[in-house]
Amino acid sequence: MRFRAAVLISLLAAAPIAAQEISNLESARPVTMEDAVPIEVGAYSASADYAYARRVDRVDYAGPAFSVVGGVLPGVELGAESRLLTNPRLNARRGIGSGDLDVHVLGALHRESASAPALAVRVDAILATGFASHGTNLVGELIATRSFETFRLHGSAGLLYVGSPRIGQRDGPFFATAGVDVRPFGAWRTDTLAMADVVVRQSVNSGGKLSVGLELGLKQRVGFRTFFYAGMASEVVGESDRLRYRGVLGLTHTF
Amino acid sequence: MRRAALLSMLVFGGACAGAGIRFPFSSLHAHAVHRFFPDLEQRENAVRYARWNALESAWRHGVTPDRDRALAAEFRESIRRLPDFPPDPRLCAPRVARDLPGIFGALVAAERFEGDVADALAASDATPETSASRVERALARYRRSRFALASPPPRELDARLGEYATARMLLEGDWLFAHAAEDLAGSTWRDQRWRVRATVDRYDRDIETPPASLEASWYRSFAPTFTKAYEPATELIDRATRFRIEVFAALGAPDPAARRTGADAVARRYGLSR
Repeated sequence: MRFRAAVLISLLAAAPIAAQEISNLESARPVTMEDAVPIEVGAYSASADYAYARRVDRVDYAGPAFSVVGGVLPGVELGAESRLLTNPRLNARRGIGSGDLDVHVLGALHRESASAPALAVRVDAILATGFASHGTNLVGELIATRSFETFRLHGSAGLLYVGSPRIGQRDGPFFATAGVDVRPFGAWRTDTLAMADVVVRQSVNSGGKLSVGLELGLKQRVGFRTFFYAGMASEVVGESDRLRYRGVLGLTHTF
Repeated sequence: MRRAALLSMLVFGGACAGAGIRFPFSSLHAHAVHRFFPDLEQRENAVRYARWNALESAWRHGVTPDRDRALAAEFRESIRRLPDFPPDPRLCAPRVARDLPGIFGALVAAERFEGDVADALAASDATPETSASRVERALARYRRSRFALASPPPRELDARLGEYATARMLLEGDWLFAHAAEDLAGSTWRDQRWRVRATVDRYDRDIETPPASLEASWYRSFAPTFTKAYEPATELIDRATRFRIEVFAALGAPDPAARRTGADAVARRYGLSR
């Protein structure tokens, strides 16, 4: 197993260097939406952030997250991330794992053209490596991106397949996002990207209400290969344990 | 088993290094221009911004005197602002990226190659051997790209482009890139600082009144030492400059359909798919 990992790492490391730009969005950094363009072959990035969330039922949580993303083949991106949270047992019941390892593949289906948006499919395997985790979950998601003169629209829809649902828990809640990103300082200054999205999620509990969240985010280039990001989210509709607000601050460095 | 894994990584790494494949975590010379010549890098970034914005404007509106005046004013403002970081082409020219992916990809690849070559020459550990090897690796990487430009026979350039202030300023920017490459290639690391400084000063003076000529072989004309040492790189960068000028000429038509036809013809001429 370690031998395979070493060979895999060597293969990844041997790929030629390419650029990763500010326009490459990464899910949850700082908002849920993502663009349908996998990062280029040979581009790698590592991110670290800290999130703090207050919930309506006062079961708040906070904690750091770490992620690594790499372009391994033309049109194929591989990534892994993990977030550590306080109140892990209570959050695990809501489907929010602490310390779970989320491994994803993002594959481009269609490059954006004059007549059609960019399309990509993303598959996540959320491995039960964390505290109070309950089985492996899988996520399948279709992502679309359309560019316009001054902004881009992003949309996605997906299903979470819960591998080992608890009693009273759905095994396939759906979710969808729709959002926009803009260059707040115009085309002559592309070091800043502002974004906003709406996230709709079906509750993980059978018979639970739909939740609707609003998110705002900002990505700022602070070094040749370093980006700062900040985000704020709030669930305006949902159950009594929905988010009152959540803030995240982090850094991404690309190689 | 652990030793075997470690050994395999080392052997694999050595084999890759021998084959000219660069490691992402060993690129200590990366962004050398940004680190050691920030004054040059800022001006080159302004030129990069202007290239992408001029291209986006030409694709959307054609090349007109009004657009030319507005672009030239924005370009001057960008030179005064001196951007620290290069632009994100996808955000600068979103419609070109969307509608002309072949041309967009070719220009991104050429810009990256030109940057890689300058970084190789500006590295603190640059020697004729290390620079030659890094430029060779950048060439190999460029040639692997599906957006690498073919080498069609040279074509007469549209002299009318010289009537536009933005075009003249962009060509002055090409001069800056070429002259900086000559400064970096033709001197030791100790002397590079002063030669680049002189080039930057001259650029700052000349950009106010750029010459009206349409010379498209900047590296071959202005960087003899660089050309002698890195002939294939010179040919490639000059080819990219010629390609960029031909794209602008094709986008000069007032009619969007004619712009599309012209851009497709240039892309085909340089072996690019749409």
